[in-house]
Amino acid sequence: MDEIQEKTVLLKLRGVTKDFPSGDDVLHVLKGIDLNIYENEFLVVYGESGCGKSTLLNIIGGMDTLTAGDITAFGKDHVHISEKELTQYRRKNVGFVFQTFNLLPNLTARENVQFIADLVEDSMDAGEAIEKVGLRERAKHFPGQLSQGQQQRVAIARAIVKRPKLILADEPTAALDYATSIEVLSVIENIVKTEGTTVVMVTHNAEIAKMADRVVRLSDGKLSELRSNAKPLKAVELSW
Amino acid sequence: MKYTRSLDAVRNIRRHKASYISIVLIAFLGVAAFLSMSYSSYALKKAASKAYREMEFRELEIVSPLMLTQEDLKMIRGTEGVVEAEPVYLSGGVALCGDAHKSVSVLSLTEKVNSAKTIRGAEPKESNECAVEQRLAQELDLKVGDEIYIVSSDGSSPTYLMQERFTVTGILLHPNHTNPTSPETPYILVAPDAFDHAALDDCIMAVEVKTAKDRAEVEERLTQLGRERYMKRHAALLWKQEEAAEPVVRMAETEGLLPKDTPFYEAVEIVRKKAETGEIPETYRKLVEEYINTFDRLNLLEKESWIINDETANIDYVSMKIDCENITKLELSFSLLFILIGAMVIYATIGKMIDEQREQIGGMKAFGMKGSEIFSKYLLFGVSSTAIGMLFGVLAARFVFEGFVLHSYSRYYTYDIKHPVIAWIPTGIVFIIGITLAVLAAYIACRRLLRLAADRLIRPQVPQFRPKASAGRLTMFSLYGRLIFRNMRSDKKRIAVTVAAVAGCCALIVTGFTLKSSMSGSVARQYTQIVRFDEKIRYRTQEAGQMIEGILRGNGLSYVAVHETYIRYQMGDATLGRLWCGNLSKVRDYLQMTDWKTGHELKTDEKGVYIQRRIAEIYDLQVGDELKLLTEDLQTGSVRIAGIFENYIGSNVMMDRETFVKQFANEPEPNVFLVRTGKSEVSGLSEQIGKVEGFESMEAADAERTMFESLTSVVNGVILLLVFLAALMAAVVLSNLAHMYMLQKEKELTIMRINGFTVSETVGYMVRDTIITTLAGIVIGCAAGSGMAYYIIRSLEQPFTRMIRSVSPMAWLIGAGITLVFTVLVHAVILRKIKYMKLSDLTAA
Repeated sequence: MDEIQEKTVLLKLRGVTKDFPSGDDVLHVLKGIDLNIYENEFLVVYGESGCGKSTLLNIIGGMDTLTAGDITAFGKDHVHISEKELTQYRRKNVGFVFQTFNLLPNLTARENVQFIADLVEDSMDAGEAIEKVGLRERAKHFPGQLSQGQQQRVAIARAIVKRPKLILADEPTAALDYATSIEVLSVIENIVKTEGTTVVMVTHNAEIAKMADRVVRLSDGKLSELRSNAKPLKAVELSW
Repeated sequence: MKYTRSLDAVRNIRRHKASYISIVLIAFLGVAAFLSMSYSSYALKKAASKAYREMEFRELEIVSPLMLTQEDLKMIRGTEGVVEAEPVYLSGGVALCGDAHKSVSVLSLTEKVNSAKTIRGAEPKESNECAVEQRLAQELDLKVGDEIYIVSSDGSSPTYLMQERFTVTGILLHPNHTNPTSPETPYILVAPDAFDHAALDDCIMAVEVKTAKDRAEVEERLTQLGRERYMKRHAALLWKQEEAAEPVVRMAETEGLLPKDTPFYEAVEIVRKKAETGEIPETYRKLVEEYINTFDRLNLLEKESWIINDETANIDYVSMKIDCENITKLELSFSLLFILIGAMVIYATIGKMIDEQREQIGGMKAFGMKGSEIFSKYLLFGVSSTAIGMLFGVLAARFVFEGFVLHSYSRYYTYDIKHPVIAWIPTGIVFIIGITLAVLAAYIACRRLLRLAADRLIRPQVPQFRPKASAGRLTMFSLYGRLIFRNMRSDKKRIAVTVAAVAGCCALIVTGFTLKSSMSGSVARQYTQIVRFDEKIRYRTQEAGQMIEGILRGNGLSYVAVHETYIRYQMGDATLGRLWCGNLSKVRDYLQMTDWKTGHELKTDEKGVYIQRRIAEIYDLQVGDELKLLTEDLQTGSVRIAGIFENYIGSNVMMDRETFVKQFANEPEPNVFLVRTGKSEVSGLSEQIGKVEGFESMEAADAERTMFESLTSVVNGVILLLVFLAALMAAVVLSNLAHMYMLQKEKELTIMRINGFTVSETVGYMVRDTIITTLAGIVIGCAAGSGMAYYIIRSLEQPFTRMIRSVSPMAWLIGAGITLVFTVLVHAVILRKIKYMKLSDLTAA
């Protein structure tokens, strides 16, 4: 169990287990995870490839269901929840940043952000979101005309435009070089500071974990370590 | 191909099995629809060829208005290129068997040309024996051993036959009548000795000829021979007339009407004038009239010649040719559209599948694989799926659909046509086209991608339009709407293929239903608007006519009398027509004659002939042109066209009495009543009239309707088969296109769902695109379908049928409705997947 925090708990995971069928066998990916996720924190989920990081992220984000255990999100039980309610949960509360950006190719950078902003009534202005990620001059460019770092920043703008309480980032820098990764991580760092959004980021890069408020280490589907960083590093201070 | 590459190619097929199966099905349907028509036409021609060959069907038939002599026959046989020439004797009459009677043609048997095929019993040998055609035997319930009587139409002894009574020795099929529903009078065949050769002056009615290979040259030689021989015969007969004139001239001299030794022609003219002014004594009047008529007829025939008919003068042969042509026309129009739609969709599917793998191709390029090595994987996909589909299509065409088509046609042939075959040439052509298409589709799509650098293939594509340019025009729409338009603009090929495929499928359905509506509409118009009588009564003698007229008056029925005879148009071919001659101002109350251009009732006060629109179109005739005719007794006429009227079924020609007399030097004695019975009981009338001596037949006005509907029911059946295949094709094509689009958009849809778009919002995003392409396809399809239907209708029309050529709104409704229903069903199934999408697959990818 982690240390008792004074911050509000956004999500509570208790005994979360996830199994996948694999031919005649069953693959136990998550083997009983207990975790609280707090408001306005930067949480890194770290572990080697195949340890269950992305699976945990999918369950937190309502994109997948758990095999056993409990999950409460924003005070609501998420185990016995309908598909429609899950959709609403993602619509109102969660923003996503993917490893491969996944922008719509036929929309410009600003339009990609606007497309998601139109889902909620109290969204940020798309231009403002683009500005926050430092891409004002590239707002009218299509994804194919942007560098990878720029595309990922657009993805971040898209994630924040709904003013979600929670942003889930699945290895957002895995496809990027060092300099670009630092760029992106700086943006994420800034979002946490200025918007008060909770960011849960999955990474296999131990160095990135140093900038988090807390680090959850997964190993073989179990929570092997949970620690807080007393002095989280800034993005520009990271080096690998 | 190395082992792992082969493995990759095979697994690529498994991974894209939905597209693979779609290509197989589309190739199957396209090829089955096309080749089933091709095979059917080939099978029909082959069966006909065999049957006509076995029956030694004549290639040429020579007839003469003055009959042919034995000397003529000898000279025909001696003409270079004539292989066989057999004489034929022919007489019209009425066959009586118990209470039953039927108009027949009595024909002499031949041995080497136009040989009849005996199906029961044996051919007649003695002069008092006969064999009957199968359809006559069925109608009169005749068996071998029965006795029949053959009399003239006026009930007297048969013209040119030695006796009246014959014993049936056999039942047979004759090559001139290969259609059991043939409109021509059935045959009774007798030995040549049954004819009275003395009465015939040893002349022959016709010569049936078989020629060597250079048929056209033989025909030319016979035509030349015919002119010479005919002139000689005409001169000889004229000379005989001079001898026959002797009793007439002697009578005129005796009665003091002529000075003695008046020259022959002058004497004839004087006698004629005396006959006109009534100066000939009563006792001699008939003799003089007969002589004058024969003399005048002989003079009229002076400029004629032998008439040499080829196979096209035989209505059943022509009917068989028309059947083959109709199937070929459907093949080259309707069925060809299947191939075009199938080809387009297969091309798009293969291209799309390759486009979707651009990143993979980029990766393979980056690894140093050659273009041909990358291409081979997609070549296998395209060629194998197309080839498998085509193979199944060939089998289905041969073993299923061809049998259906041949079975539909089989009741119109006395010989067996149900021997399905494979026509190898069209099969080969279709295979070559199909494989070439598959190779080209893979090649073009691959080449386009392989020309790009590897890194460009790996990066996302940049849309080819500028946001500023589009922004101004589309700002009225929401971002959502603008995105849909941009999706369509960035994927023009898919949009074009989808619209074209939907249009093609809709067009096929609209064409089918337009054709059906046209055929049934023609029948309805003919028998509700044009034909205004209910019964047609035919009789043989004037006395019979008077008695029948009495009965009709007694029953309070309205009627008109006409002279009915059959003619052939002599405008290059020998199409059969029906001539009605009488008081046209009364006749048109019973057969509406509407001017085909103005739509108003035609005035019939002008002298000449009135023809129907279809004949005018075929022979490119206008009012004022000359129409050449040949009557049943081989008299030719050239008549001015006084009017052209609208008609759908039958081939009718109307002529006033004066024109007829002027043309043919004969009084057109009425032999038919057109009767309006209204709601009166017909069976009672039929019974009364049936007892009249000289009555021949009474048939409903829409008797031809049955024949027309029989003919069209076959074409209808074939069209229904094609519409059924069209509906299947529509389902497969729509399903394939929807599936391809779904695959293409899967990632985008997953992102939308992850970000909180509901299932219905995500489905709506997909459906809007579909609505636009489907509606566009339906509009184009309805227009194209009507156009194609018009083309097919014009090519199916015959001299005796005209179909309604206008668009059919009902067909549009049905075509649009079926297309919409299929689209909705297909998308309901495919878009259901959105609800069950695994959102976590996006992060796993």
